[in-house]
Amino acid sequence: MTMAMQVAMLTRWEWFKLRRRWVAWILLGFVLLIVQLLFWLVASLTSDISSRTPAENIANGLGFSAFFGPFIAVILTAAVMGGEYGWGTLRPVLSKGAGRWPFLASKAAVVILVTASILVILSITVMISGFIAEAVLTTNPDVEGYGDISWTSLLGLFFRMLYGFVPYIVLTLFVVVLTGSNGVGTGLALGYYIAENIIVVPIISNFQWSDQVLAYLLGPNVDAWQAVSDTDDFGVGLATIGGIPEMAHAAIFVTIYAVALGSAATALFLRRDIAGAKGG
Amino acid sequence: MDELVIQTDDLTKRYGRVLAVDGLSLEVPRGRIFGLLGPNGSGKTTLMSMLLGLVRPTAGAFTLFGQSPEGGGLDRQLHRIGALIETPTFYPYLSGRNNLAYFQGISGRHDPAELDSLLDQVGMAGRGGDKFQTYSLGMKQRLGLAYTLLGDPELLVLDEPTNGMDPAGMAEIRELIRELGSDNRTVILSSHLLNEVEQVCDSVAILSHGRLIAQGDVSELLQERGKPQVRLRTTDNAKAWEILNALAWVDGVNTENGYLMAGVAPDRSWEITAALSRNEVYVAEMTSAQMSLEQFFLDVTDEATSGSEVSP
Repeated sequence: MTMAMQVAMLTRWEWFKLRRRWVAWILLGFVLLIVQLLFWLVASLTSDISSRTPAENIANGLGFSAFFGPFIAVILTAAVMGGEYGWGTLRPVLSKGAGRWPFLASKAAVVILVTASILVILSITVMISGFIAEAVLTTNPDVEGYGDISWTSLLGLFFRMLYGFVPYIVLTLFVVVLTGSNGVGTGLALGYYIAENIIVVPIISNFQWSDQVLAYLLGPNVDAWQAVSDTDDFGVGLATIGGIPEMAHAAIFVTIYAVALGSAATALFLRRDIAGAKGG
Repeated sequence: MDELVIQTDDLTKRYGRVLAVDGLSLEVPRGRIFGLLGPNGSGKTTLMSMLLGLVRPTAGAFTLFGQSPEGGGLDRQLHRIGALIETPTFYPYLSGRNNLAYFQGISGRHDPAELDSLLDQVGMAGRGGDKFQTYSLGMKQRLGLAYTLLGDPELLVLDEPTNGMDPAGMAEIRELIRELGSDNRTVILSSHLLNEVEQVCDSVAILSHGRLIAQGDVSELLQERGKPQVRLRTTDNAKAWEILNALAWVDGVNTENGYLMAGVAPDRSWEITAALSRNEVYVAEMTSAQMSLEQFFLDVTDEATSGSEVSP
């Protein structure tokens, strides 16, 4: 069996376990509830949503997910990996010859697949809400949406949203493997996300030299990468290095973060001795 | 020479200042029920964890089924092993059957009939659908045993498999282990219940402070170590003690729980009877007494402790 097949098989069995846990279903319910609340709040306040195309409504819904997506990714990743440490199940899993790096890769893969599924379900529900809004709300043709979003560009946006969550997934894997704890892993990964996006970036932005620093941070690069509109000025005003386009710069840095954190998590997981249950 | 299932060469594991396993060279031949004994902290679990790739050795090497696990071969070798280290730990929110289905699945197999058969074999057929978190320790042990038997492995590594079981359950599992070891399968049994090990195992290895202090067939070890003794009760034990002590061919006489223990080969029992009856002391009861594994274990671990330096 090739390594890719091994990872695919382990991913299938990760889903076997995950679908029997409450956490995945609670997160899905939470996401749908929040997105629907935001959708109808915006719809009732601006009444522009009723004039949008289905693709625009989905882009709108995906845009909402850019904010809470990292929360979902972190909580889900910490749950699927941290649980193994808490219950002491790494011993029986690895004793069956699952292989350390294929097992870790399957954890990342199942979280990415479940996050993708959540985005698909979110998109469908937002599209349905758009049809309902069109029927029940007064349209306002003067209000502009995101522009002319095609289904192809929507697919690109979906991919960019999902790929933007990957650094947070591998960051969480890294801290869970480092600390061997679900709770600490969740706290550190979410703490990083919140500290960077809500505290560090706003403070640094006040300084003249902020552009050069922000260009290297994860949060601003993910924001630029996940920007909903594909017009030239879609981004968040990210200063780029060497004059490369903002999107390309963001893509490079999101990838660097994902690869670096993923490599660190894998190296640590391969080297660490496996102890018994930690119970937390 | 028997094929070796496990061979370790100067295997060492150090946790900071603590030397958990100290240059261990051990050989486990195929088709034996092999007891791994040692006081708490003697390195048994660390040794088993190293063999399963859960813990990285600090130094030394080992082979499984004659092959080195280097170069990614360990995962393939682990498919031939069923092992459970310490208390069984499975997914608490999954049923016993789904836990087994998961572990069967990640081994690349799908065989629902095997799951039913194993649950039945370990006496869990009626509780396979219940969540693992609802199981008693004894039931967890039974499920753990079923887990080790997934895929009909060539080598079983069992760590305290009867821990938490009632006496009937312990006897049942002992019988199962004996059956499992009768078909050219190798079983490594780690247990603190020396009586259990003596009943089940063909060979033993005894560890103390991470070092191997004794290894061999149970019967041979006990014969080599323990001098032959005869255990007897007479009509006058005090007088019998004096008579037997005076005989040159009797290698010492002790009193133990109301019995006399005389250092005599069992085939000379008739001479004891004759010597005592000549002095009007008559034998009421007499049996051959072999050293128990428990006594052997206590003797060798005491010697190892008094003769060894405690690692810093």
